[in-house]
Amino acid sequence: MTGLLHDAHGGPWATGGARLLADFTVGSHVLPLAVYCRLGGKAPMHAALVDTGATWTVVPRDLIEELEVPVDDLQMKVRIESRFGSHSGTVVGLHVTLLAEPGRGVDLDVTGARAVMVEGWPGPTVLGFHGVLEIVRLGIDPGARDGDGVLYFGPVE
Amino acid sequence: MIAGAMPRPGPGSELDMGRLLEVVRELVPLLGGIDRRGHEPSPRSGTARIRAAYDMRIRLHDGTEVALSGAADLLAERHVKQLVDRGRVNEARRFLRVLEEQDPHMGVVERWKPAFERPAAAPSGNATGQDPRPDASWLRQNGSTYAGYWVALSNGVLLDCDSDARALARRLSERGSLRPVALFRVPS
Repeated sequence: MTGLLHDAHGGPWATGGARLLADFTVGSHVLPLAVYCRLGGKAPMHAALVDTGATWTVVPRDLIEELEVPVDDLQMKVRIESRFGSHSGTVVGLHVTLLAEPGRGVDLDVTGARAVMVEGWPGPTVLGFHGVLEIVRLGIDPGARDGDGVLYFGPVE
Repeated sequence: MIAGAMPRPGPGSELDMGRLLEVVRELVPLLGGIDRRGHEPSPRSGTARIRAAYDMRIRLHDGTEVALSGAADLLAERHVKQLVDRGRVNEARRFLRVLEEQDPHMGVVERWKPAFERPAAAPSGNATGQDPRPDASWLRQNGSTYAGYWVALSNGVLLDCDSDARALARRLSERGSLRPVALFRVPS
C-alpha cells in the first residue's frame, strides 16, 4: 500500500487526499469543512460535512431513499441533538467512500459504516465520529490560501 | 400502570454473580424508576436482586399479577438508550460489552451490538473524486435560483436538475455513469 503521508517508521499514514473546502455553501447550508463522498457504491458524489465533534454520522432519509442507496436497517431508534434541534432517527449500516482527487492517492472505502438516518433532516450529510471517523485517520492541511487546503485520510491500522 | 414488583425465583442463571452484580449496581438507579413495593431483598441482596432483575412479577393496579421475564433486559435497554440519546455512545458501548461478557444472548446485547460494531476502512484501487472548487463556485453563484431542486454538476457545469432526485438520477444513469457527477439538494 502506498501512502501520501507516512508515519515515523515509513509506513503509510494517509492513503488519499481531497481538496479541503472551507465554507462550502449549498443554498442556506454552509459546511465549514466539506469533502466529497459517495453513499452506497454507485451513487453520485455528494458533499458531506466532516465533523469530528459530532457523535453520529447523519444521513437524510429522503436522500437515501431518492438515490436508492442500499442500507441495512438495524432497527434501533436514537435521538440526536444538533443546531437543527432534536431529531430521532434509525441506525443504519451503509457503505461510505471518501473520494480522493486524482493525483492524491486513492479513495477510502468504509464498509459497515453506521449512520443515523433521519426523516426530515434539514441539514447536510454529516460524517461524524461514531460509525465512520472512528476508523479513519484524518489530517488537515488548511493551506496558505483559500482552496489550497487538503484533507488527508487513511485507514486506522 | 405498575403498582408493585415482586421478586420471583429466578431462572437459576449460572452467570458469574460477582461480575453481574457490578452490572446490576449500574442498573440500580434505574430500578428506582419502578415502584418496587412488595420487593424485599434479602440481606444477601446480590442474588435476590439479580434474580429480581432478571425475572419479576409485576402487580398491576387492578390486582392482577403478570410475570415479566427479562426485566434486566428492559432496564439495560433503557440504560443503553439513555446513554445513546445523550450522545454517550462509547459509554453505552462499554456497558454493552460488560453485559455481553456475562450473557452474550441477552436481548439488549443482541439488539444493540450491530449498531455499535466498528466499520472497516480500506483504500480502494482508484481515485474517483474531483476538484470541488468549480462546483462550489457554481453553487455560490446560482444556488438561490435552484432552491428546492436537486442539481447535478460536473466540474462546475450544470448537467441537469429536477425536484425529484430519482428521476434525475435515472436520466443521468441513462446518459452514462453517475460516478463523475456531484449531486446537491439546494435547500429551499
